[in-house]
Amino acid sequence: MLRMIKNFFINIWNVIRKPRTVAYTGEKMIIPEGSRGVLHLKLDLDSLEVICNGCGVCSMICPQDSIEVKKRVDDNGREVLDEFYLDLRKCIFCGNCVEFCERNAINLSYKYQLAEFSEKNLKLEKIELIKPSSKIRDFW
Amino acid sequence: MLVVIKKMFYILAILIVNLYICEYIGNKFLARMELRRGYRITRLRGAGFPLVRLFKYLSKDNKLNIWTFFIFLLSFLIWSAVPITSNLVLIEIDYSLLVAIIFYIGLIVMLLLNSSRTSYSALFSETSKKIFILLSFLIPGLFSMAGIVFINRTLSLREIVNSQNQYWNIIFQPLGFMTFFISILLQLKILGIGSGSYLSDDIKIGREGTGLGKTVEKIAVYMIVFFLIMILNLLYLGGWQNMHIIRGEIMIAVKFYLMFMILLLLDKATARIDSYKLLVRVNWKFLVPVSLVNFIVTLGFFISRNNNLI
Repeated sequence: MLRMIKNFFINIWNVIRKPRTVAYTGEKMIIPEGSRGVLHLKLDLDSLEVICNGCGVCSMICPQDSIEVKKRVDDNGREVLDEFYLDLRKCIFCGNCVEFCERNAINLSYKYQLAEFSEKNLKLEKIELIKPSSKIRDFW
Repeated sequence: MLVVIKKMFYILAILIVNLYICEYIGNKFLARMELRRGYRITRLRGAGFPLVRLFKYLSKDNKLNIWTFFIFLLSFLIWSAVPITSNLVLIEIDYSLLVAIIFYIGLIVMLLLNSSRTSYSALFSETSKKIFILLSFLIPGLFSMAGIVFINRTLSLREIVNSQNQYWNIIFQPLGFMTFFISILLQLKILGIGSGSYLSDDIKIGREGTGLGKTVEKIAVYMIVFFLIMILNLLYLGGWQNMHIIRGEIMIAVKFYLMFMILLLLDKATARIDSYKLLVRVNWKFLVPVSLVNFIVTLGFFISRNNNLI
């Protein structure tokens, strides 16, 4: 009985409150902080190069095997990232890659509008993962 | 003759407009209770949604069962004896309350027959059980109505409303009002408007389906709820009595929609009842005894007043 009365007043309060849902494309909402989107390869701000050296820990730790990393040795004898593929069909946005990265070279962006017409477009390459636009916490 | 047709037209118009508004309010209100925005299929905040839904139903199937036709007929016929305002009543009789109740019971029996139309064994099905339960919810309501009849010494709804010009009957019969209101809520839970009903498990009354038959069943459910709210309004809340400068016609509409919204809120608040058998327990262990006590006290008061003991 008490629960029923409580529910009654909760319902009245809900009627007055602003609805949680928004009409998509017509209205915009800020994405909550800490949301997980597509992963983003960080850049070194001084040299504007990718911090990642292609060690492959993220690829090993990924539970879905969605990351594929290739490395090469540059002219100075350093190991650098050659190719980085992310398969969005498999990715579950768990964030393991971010946690296990020793160089802190990856973070998760807020970009999550990922619908595509073709399956091919869901396999992202290095250049697409570096794009600064994906890092900005945008609106939808 | 012309007057009767004119009245019929007015009553039908009021009922259809009311149906439209209540369908809209019901959907929007339930959505807002769940923090949703509600339907936005059409512009103007989804105002055309009931119409869209009606067309959706009609586009699927247009077969009409004979029982469904009777349900349709009775759901409008039920209003012939109930006065909506002081002048707007189709048949003026001295025992209109009795006629209204008989029509109401007839409508529920029609629902029973409709549910068991496929085979005779379905008469003893779970749905029939639920419809008998629905009839059992009427018992506390009947006791409460009897209390009002004893107080006002009349069976005419018009006279009952007119006798409330000074004080509403809710002041004399608060227990009766409470039991009647809760019995309406229980009936609403079995029939269901917005959320899923207990009756809809088998015959899908008040649930989204297809076809003209479903539309008619849904209209019947709405008519039952309107009828019960209207009777509550007339018996306890003063009906079309003016309140200070506010006209009676406006007052009755305000009270009607207020009751409808409170019922929707309570319906939603008790949405997590696992089994309808709890409703039966509430009815037999709480509502019927309380209404019986109320009835006996009123009867005692009535007898002592008649014998000039008070």
